[in-house]
Amino acid sequence: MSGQLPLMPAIKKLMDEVLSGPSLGEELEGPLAEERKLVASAKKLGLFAAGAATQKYMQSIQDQQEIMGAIADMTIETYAMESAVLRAQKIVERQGESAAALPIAMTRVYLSQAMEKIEAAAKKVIAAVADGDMLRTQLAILRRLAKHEPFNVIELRQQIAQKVIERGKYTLA
Amino acid sequence: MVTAAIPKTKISGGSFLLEQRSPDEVFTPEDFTEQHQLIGQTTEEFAVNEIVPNIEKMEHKDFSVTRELLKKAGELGLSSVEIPEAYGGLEMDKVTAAVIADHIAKYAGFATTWGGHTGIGTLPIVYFGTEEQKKKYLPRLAAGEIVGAYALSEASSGSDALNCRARAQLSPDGKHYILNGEKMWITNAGFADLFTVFAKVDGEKFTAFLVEKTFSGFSIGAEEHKLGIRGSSTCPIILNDCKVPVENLLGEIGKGHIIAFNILNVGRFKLGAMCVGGARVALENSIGYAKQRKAFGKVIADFGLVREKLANMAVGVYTGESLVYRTVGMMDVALAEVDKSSANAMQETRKAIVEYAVECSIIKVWGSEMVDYVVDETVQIYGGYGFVEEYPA
Repeated sequence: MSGQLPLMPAIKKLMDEVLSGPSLGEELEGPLAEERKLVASAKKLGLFAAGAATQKYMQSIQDQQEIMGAIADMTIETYAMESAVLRAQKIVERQGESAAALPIAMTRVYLSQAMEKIEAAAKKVIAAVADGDMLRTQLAILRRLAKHEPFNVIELRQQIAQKVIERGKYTLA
Repeated sequence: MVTAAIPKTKISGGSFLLEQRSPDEVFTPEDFTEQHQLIGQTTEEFAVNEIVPNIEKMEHKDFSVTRELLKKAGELGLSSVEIPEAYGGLEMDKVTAAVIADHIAKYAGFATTWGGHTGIGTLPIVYFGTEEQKKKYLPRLAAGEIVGAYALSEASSGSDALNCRARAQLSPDGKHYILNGEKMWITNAGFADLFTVFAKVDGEKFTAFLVEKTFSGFSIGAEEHKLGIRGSSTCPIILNDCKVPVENLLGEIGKGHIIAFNILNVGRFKLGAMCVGGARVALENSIGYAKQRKAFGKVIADFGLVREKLANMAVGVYTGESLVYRTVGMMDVALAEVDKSSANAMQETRKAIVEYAVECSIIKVWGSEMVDYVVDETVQIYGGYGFVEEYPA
């Protein structure tokens, strides 16, 4: 990656986008559309938090370890979420949606956990870099970016547990 | 099982933050070739039949058993997939290396030993060695006849590795570098034969050396009594006017940092894979126990919260597999583009690997935290038995 990733232009583009008010958003279609939207939201949340933080600290952001840590955590969760979704998509493509029930369930559980972490990290950053009206505005944006209908993780976990207990080990079928 | 093509799209490191990917661009376990599956099977059998029965002995630091197992792993080809064929290796892709790491990791003590030997203990020579150094050491490392180790950290320098105190000075006759200093936390040190040691030439130039344990002035300190991975050896090493022949300089004087950071980068992905393998084993053990342990008239596998734990563990394994194999798949695509016959093949190879430093770091830290959670839940599920030596946790 060696410093060649065009992060700053991407952050600027996102900040312009979110500050200009709610958009209709691109509607994703096809299998795992909700899940893919969540991944897209996660990426936006990461860029948003990074953008807000760099606006305040500029280059010295590197010295703000807690903020860098929160952004790193968001990055990690984003990569993990996307990897899980892409794999589930591939399994759906090759085996059909019903054969992919378990990977889809596992993906949804992971996405739920990850979004919670990402939202918490983003709030932590925003609260540290903004106050007053700016804070309220940014929190509103954060809420908009993070908004999603929760999966029934209790049911999903029971579904997963049932299968792995039956098989006696980790399984995807 | 394999009908679809292996993903071939070259992807920039870190680009997941800004770009969308499609499923056919990423490698997943569903893309394993027959060869990947075969080597996974071989590793699995080796781990179940040879490693697991010897866990008790290794936990009590019977390193003769460990060395024997390293040799056996070498004979099966499990320790040479990242070594070029010209030097006795199998020269296979990183996915294969990850598959082996995944399946061999049924016991963290041995996994650490094997990972230390095949990764940081061997790869400095693969990626930075001269022709003579490669010929001299790689075939024996590949076979597990000699064991490798990596000596970078010191008592007062861990994360800030470049701040090390070990010194190296050219002897008056120009035939040796004389090394002085101490290194700490060296995996495999108790029984390793060859060490990649970092020291500052003339107190300034951070440089790497290949040090054999038989060189004069080299000694190994006492075994650390660790809280975990107790089956692996961790000792300090002491360099007291240690004479290292000039032919054993690795890379260039003053450029040791390139070796240090590249090797750590490339070692990371295997750690991620080993965490996934370890988690899978822990889950299997937990399920087995939960299905037979009874409480309040039923097996504990019937309780909602126990099932929730098992499900979370499974989710950890699934997501870990997705992360790890996606990452090594990307590395393989980039590495396949390197023209091995060109003069700067080594440089291009290193560039291809460092490209994914972010992703490799992610899978290392994510994997560690995931397996930490899984093992903790395993202890919970086993109850009191989870806290004693004789039981799997």
